Amino acid sequence: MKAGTIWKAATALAVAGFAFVGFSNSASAQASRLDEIVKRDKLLVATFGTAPPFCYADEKGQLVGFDIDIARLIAKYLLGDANKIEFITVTSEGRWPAVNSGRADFGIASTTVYPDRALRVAFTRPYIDSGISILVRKDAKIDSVAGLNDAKFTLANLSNPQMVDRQKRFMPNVKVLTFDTPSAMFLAVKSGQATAMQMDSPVIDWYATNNSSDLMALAENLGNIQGNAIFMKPGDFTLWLWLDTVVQELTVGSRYNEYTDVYKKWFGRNPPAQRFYAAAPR
Amino acid sequence: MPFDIALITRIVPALAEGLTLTLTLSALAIVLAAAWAIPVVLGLMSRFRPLSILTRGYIEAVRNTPVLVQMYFIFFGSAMAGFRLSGFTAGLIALVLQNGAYIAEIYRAGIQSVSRRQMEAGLAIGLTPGAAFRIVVLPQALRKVIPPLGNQGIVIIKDTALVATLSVAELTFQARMLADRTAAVYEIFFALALFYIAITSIFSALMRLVEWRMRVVQ
Repeated sequence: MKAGTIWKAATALAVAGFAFVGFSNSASAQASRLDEIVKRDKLLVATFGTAPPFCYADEKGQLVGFDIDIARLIAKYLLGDANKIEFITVTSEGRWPAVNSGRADFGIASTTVYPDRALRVAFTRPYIDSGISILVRKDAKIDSVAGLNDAKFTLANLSNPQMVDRQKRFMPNVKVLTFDTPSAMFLAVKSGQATAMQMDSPVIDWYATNNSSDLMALAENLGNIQGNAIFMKPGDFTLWLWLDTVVQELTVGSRYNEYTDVYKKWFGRNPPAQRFYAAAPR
Repeated sequence: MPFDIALITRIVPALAEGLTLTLTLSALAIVLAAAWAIPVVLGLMSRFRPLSILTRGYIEAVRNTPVLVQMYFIFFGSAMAGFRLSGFTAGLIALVLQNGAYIAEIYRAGIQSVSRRQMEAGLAIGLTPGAAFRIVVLPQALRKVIPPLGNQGIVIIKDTALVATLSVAELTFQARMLADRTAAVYEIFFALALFYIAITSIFSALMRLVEWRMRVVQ
């Protein structure tokens, strides 16, 4: 066989090999959930149904709240219509399998970022600051976290380990009841089954404002300022990058005005300024 | 689908912490419901109309509402009324009230399925109505109700899972807490199902033993 033929054969084989690898690479690189959402023309979002003012059902049974409005903005940016969205309500421990199993594209559910959670889901940067506050019955006559640290009182928790850790750290003596939704915790405090509950500060503030006759929020926060973020199944860089960019633009960038509108609607005040050197808007 | 069998051997001891409460609640609920159903069926079959109407009203009320709703009502309602009941107690009361009603119907069907002629025969040989009922009708009715009672017992065992929402640390509660700590949702709920299957299987075997012991040699 002539040397030329062998060279031609080798070159043809190499080109075919690269083409094959090249095409299959690009095919798998495009397999992002983001493309699936656009093709489906609808967002599927996991959320809570009972965590006012973030995500809860109003008197008409419609899901409303700060998280709901942020999710609708995301639908508007991606699909052009804030109504091309379907919400899936989940319980506290059900939110992780909801995104990891693929039932939902992402979750936005008053969910605080913690390192152990970040092992199992991917978080965007936080879209709102949070911290943990305590709602307490006025008739218990408690005015501090230390006052709650007594075996004659009962604290209502959610099922996640951070709640357990905080209770052990700040109030080791208190009795504990564990529920799976913020509304069950609230019902426990309102009915008297529990003396107090711990939850994200905006949720506590909302409950305290709407039940000021018999409930109040303690002034102290438990622990640090924290962040609530959107979470999704890990591994999909394209989806994560886009969502994280959207949160960036909402909180400190080009969509800050729309973020401010939603923030003022639910919290009655301006969000933190875009830059430390810039004044807060309006 | 990720399914880690080795994980299950580590999940089982963690779930087993809730086993005692599940077994205790199931046993108490079954025994108390079967006992509570006796005055209920007597009231139901009473010839005193107001009593039988009242009993029928109670049975319809609990049969037409989900037992979880009844549990919430008793748990939170008791606190609002001033006497806090624990989740265990509230769950037990709801289970007894609801299943007592179902079991009373089972008793009624069993009693009425024994032919009237048995009762007449007892009266004919000189027994009082009470004695005739106790000696002739009741043993026959008892044999007939064992299978449906066994069914209701299994329903009760499964319904104990509902008290997890009232913060009772039984099997399902342990499973949910574990699910919020690890990502192993499939493995955890598979192991949980195995626990319930084991409990109901043992209970069913016990009921079959009782049936066999009460068999009539024809």
